[in-house]
Amino acid sequence: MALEIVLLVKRFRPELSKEPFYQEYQIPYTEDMVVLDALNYINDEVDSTLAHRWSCRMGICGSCGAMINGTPRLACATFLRQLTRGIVEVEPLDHFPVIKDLVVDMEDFMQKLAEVMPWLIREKIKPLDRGEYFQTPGQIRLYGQQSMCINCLICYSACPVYGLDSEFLGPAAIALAYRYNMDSRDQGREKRLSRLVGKSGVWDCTYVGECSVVCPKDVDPAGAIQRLKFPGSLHVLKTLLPRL
Amino acid sequence: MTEKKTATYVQKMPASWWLRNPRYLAYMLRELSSIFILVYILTFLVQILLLRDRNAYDAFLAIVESPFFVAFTAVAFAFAVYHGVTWWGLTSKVLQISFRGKTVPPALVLLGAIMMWAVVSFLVYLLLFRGV
Ligand code: SF4
Ligand code: FES
Repeated sequence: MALEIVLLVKRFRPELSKEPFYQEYQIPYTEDMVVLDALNYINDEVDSTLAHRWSCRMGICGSCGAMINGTPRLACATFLRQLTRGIVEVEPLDHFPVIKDLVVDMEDFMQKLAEVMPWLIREKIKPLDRGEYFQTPGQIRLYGQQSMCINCLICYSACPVYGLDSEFLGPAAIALAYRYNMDSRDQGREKRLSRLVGKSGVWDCTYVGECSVVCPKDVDPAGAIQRLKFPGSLHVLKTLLPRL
Repeated sequence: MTEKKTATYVQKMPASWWLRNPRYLAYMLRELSSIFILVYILTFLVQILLLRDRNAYDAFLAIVESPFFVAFTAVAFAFAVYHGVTWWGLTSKVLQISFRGKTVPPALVLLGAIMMWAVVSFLVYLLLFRGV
């Protein structure tokens, strides 16, 4: 007899009801299935009204995040066989407004991301014919870990500070600010710091640390946030002290 | 970009969020520990202030030596140790100490910090109780 597995999916269909509801799906199971395979199977074979996001199927695009048995994870990187409970519960990422089923509204993060200016800021841009900006492997190592972020927002779902107050800039946006502030080619450190030490910036973080536990790319946003608190303080000091 | 959104469903965080996994609980206990530490420090400060008045000091000592307060102090002490250890656990991950071009592993930093902490505590103990 073929093996089967039960998925309990939290659904929200605004055209039907204002309230979310849970729906159970019983589908064939194989050892090599990830949660995303199960969702795709449901969508293809059982119930085409189920909405979920995905693209790369390999932990790169960052679009398949969901609460899986209560923990935010990438659906494409979570094997069903890793999950211990009999029924696999799949819910939309915590803390975000739900548009439909597992699809959440990411607009808030997109705005915050732009606020930290996640690009190289140069006072004067070197003309292309003058060649690239060189970096040593040591200089790359300073920001390499944070540059792995795939904007999956799993860290935001794990962050109770963001859950309580969505004004908080949040783990990934601050980790990306750190990534650019640590880049030897960048000259926008103070600009970013003035945003980071401002309202809902690094000081709102109370170091729960769960963002770094759940991050599928080992970005360690929690560590990056704490490491920004010292340069942040210096930045405040600099702006307070009258210029000599 | 700014097309009108259809109705969304807002997810609220339940008040019991910190019971969801052991790490959240450990965090909440660390936050709670500060209340115990605060109360302990306040009593300690009051005790120092009362040093000027012998009678008041003796009366205060009677309270501090009561079984209830001793029990409270024991709990506060446990919380202080818990706070200290977890604080260093987190801090050791944040500090990136390099040695000969390599980052020292956080576990080693933690060990060093705890050892330093023990030494300082011992010195304070000597200073207070042995009058060295
Ligand atoms: S920091 Fe990690 S969890 Fe957060 S968005 Fe980036 S990759 Fe995802
Ligand atoms: S589908 Fe791209 S990260 Fe999961």
